[in-house]
Amino acid sequence: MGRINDPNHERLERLLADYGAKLRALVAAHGLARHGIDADDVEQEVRIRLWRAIERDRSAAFHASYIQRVVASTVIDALRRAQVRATEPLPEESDDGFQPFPDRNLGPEERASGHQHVEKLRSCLNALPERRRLPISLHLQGFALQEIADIVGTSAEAARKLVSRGMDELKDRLREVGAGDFDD
Amino acid sequence: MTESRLSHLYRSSTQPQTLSARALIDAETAVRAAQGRVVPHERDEVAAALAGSSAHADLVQFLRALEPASAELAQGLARSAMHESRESRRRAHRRMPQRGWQWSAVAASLVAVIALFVMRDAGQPHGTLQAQLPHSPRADAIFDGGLDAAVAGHAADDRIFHTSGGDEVTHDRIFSARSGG
Repeated sequence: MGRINDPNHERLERLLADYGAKLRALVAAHGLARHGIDADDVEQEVRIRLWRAIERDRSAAFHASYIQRVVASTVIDALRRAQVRATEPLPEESDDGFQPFPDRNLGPEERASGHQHVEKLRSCLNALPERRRLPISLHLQGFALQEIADIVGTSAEAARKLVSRGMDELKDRLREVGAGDFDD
Repeated sequence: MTESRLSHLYRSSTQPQTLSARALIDAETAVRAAQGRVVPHERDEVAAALAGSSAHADLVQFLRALEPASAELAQGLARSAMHESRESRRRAHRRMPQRGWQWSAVAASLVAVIALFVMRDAGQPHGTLQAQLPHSPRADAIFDGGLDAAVAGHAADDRIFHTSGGDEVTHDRIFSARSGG
C-alpha cells in the first residue's frame, strides 16, 4: 500500500508506461498482428515480466539486451499460443493450409490469381543459385542490405550486389513464366 | 507487377511457416540477429528461418526497431536503481544519529547507576574498617616494632611449641597421648 506514494515506484511506473507505449506502437507497425499477436497483451506481459525482475532486485541495473530478451521471449510465447489457436484449419484455407491473401475483401478470381503468382514466384526462387536465393528471400522479407549482410555474414556491398543481380534474375525468370512485367 | 507486390506475395507465402515449421529461433538468437550478431555456426539455420518465416522476420525487425527504446529504458532503470540506493544510504545515515543518541543514553544511565551505588556506599558506616581506622593508635603496626612486642607479650600462650622449662614436654597438647581422648 505504501508503494502507491513511493516516488521510486512512481518513477518506475512512468518508465515502464513510456516503454509500453513505444512497444505497442512498434508491434502494430511491424505487422505482428497478422501472426495473431495482440499488441496490448504483449505490452502487459512485458511490463509484468519486467516488474517481476525489478522487484527481485530494486538496485540491479538491467542491460538493454536483457530487456530485449524479455520482449523477444514474450513475443515468441505469443506466437506459439497463436499457432496453437490456429491449428484448426479455417474453411477458406487451401488444401496445404496456406492462405496467401488473408484479406477477406479479395474476390475468388483475385485469390486464384494470387495463388498462381505465388506458385510461380516459388518455382523461380528455387531456380536461383543458392548463394543468391537466401539474400533475395531476406530482401523480399523486408530486411535492409546491412541487415542482410549481418545475417548472411558478408559485407553490405557484397549483399547489395547479390540482391541486385538476384532480383534481376528473378524478374527475368518471372517474365519468362508469364508472371507479368515489372514496372519498377 | 512491382517489387513491393512481389515482396507482399513472398511474405504471404511464408506467413504460415511459423515457429515450428522452420528452425525454431529462441529469444536469445532473435536478439542477436536483431543486433546483427549471428553466431557463425548458427548462421545458416538463422538465415533460413528468417528467409522462410515472415513471423521470424517480423520479430527480428521489430526487435531491431525496439533497440533504442530498450536502451533508453535500461538507462532509466539504472538511474532509478542509483537513486534507490542513494535513498537507502540516506535513510541509513538518518537512522545512525538516532542510534548514537540511544547508545549515549544507555551509557549515561549506566554511569548514573554506578554513581548512585558509590554514593550509597559512602553514606553508610562500614563495619570493621570504619570502626578500626579512627581508633587505631598507630598508623603502621608492622614496622613500628609494636607487633613484635605484642607477639612477645603473648608468647606464653603458644601451646604448641611451648615447653614449661627443662625436659618437661607434657604440656604439648597436640602431641600428648591424652589429646586423642
